[in-house]
Amino acid sequence: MKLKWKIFLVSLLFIMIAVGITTITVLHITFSSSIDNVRKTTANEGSFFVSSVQNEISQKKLLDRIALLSKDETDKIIAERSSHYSEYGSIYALAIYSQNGDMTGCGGEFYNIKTELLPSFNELEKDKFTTHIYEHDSLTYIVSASVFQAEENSYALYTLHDISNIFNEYTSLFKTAGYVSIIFAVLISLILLCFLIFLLSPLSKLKNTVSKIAEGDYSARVKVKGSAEIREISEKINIMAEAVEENAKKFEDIAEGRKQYVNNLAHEMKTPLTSILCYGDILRIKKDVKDEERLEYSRIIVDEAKRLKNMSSKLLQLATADSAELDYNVYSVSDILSEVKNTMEPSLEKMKLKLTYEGEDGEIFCDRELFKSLIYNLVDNAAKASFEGGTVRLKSRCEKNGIVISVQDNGIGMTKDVLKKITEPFYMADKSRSRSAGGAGLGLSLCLEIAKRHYARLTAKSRSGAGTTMFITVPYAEGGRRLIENKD
Amino acid sequence: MTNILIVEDDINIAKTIKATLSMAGYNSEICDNGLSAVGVIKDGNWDLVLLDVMLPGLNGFDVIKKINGCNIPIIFLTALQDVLDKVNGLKLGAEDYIVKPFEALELLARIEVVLRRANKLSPILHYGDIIADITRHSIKKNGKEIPLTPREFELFVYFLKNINIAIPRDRLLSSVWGINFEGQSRTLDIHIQQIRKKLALHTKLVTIPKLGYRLDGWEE
Repeated sequence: MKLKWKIFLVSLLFIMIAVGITTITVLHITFSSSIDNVRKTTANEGSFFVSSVQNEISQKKLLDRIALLSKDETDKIIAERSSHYSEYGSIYALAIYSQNGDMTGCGGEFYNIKTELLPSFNELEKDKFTTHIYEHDSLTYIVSASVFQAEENSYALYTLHDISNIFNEYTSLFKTAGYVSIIFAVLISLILLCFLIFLLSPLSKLKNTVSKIAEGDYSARVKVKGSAEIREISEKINIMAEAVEENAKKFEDIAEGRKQYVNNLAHEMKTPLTSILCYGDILRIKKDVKDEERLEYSRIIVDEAKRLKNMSSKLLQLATADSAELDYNVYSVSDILSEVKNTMEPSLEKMKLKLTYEGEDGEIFCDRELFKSLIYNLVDNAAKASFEGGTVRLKSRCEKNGIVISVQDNGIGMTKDVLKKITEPFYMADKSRSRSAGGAGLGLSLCLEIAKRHYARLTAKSRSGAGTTMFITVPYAEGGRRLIENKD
Repeated sequence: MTNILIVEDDINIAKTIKATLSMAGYNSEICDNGLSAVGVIKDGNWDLVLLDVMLPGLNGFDVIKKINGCNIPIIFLTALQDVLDKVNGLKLGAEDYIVKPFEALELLARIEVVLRRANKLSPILHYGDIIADITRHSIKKNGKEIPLTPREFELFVYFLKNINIAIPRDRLLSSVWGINFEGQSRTLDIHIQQIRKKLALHTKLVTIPKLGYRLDGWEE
């Protein structure tokens, strides 16, 4: 059920209950007080009657100079007074009974009352009036009963007052109150409903915008207006839409990047495959293959196959560097770099290059083999870019935010535009040099991946014709350990 | 002698193409740059140009636009399988399009088709004392007309165009009988027998085990 109907029905219910309870309570109180007044009146009138009887008795005693009247005399006076019951106010009827149960006097239509319902002599108290309300013949009466003493005899006095009109009045008042409260409640609820519809209408606009966003229109936004809560929600929805749009773009970019990656990969693999296929084919079908041809073709086949092997193992490294099982420990930077220098010196010498290491020592938290592989890659790149007789310099420096390792060559260098792209997978700054040296352009993207796993930063400085320096800034062992272990 | 220009920036691929062409008896040169290729084409005397799409300097499509007036047949080479590129190339006037990596024989077959279309090849082929006339579908040995069935003729001509080259069975079948040939491949062997018998080529038209057949050069 919609919110506004829920609110409408609930408020209708409560208003009706509230109005109802109020009216009933007010009416009841007023009604009770009216009845109380009548009770008082009957008590007073009863007392008045008794007094007048006493008066008559006294007068008679005075007149006849008797000290005490007989019961018969007393009864006579009582009977006489009873017949004049109407002189005592609004008494409708009354009856007086002697202690022996005889009716001593009566006035009005008392006989209609069911005497069994009246309190008996023993239950009544002197000068205290007990009242009961009776219904008879669609009229309502209040009976007031008491006991009084006259000339050493006890008598029970019952007076009857007609309070039908009070009851009728209040019954009709209740009815009217009921109708009015229902009408009033409905009216108020309707007004409330209209108000709610007005307040909540922005919600449907919200709903529409959110649907649009869900369907792919990430640029849709909600107009922020309306009451405070609606504004808040609208603003938050807009923020969320912003995030969704950003993420959508990010994923698009990632997908685009992946597509490019795969395209480049396919291209890079087709080229060595073409050579292998073609030379292999020639060797297969040509009748007289000269020795030098055979040597050249088979050399090329082997070289290209090696290149493919190299590429696939780099790709595998890239892929596994992505997943987590690395073996981290604290190592000395000098140790690692010296090892690298010793391992790579011979191969660089073959290329007529020198490899040096000098620098400060410090401790880092790393996966030794992977980190070495990072340095190997950089030294390898430096060597490939160098001219004969050049030097590749490995350095390490302790700085404030980490240890800075640098690999510097004085080789061919790069322009700014090329520098920007060097970590893209498959990108090669100088295709012919890289390819001829067996590379596939994957080295630096791998280095970047390894650096990421170590929370290290990779930067480069280069000038075309003057050489390149690659910088790796690695956090100190403590910080590095915290970062790496927190992530896992 | 047919002169073919190879415009390809990847030196390794260029060399494979050169090797393939020389195996088939074509003369070829390599150019590795789009800009200089335009000049080389205009100044030279080329029968055919093999043009790579992705080139430094000027890309393949721009090169072809610049040499449109020269009337030289062009075959595009590319690693991409994009349909749009294919259509683009052909629209710009290339004769054909081949996707890397390609087999040597595939390249040679396409070159041959293009050269034939441009009338750069003689319709008369000589082999020792055998003369084959392609336009008239006739074979003469020692001046005497030898009757060959159309298939036998085509098969023999295929060998004439690929002397000293071992041709795999499937290539023979697809070139002469068509790519979708679903019959028995024994028919190939029967045809070979017929050709050997009719033209007395038992020693020259040799069987290459596990591969196919080869017509050796006459001069040996």
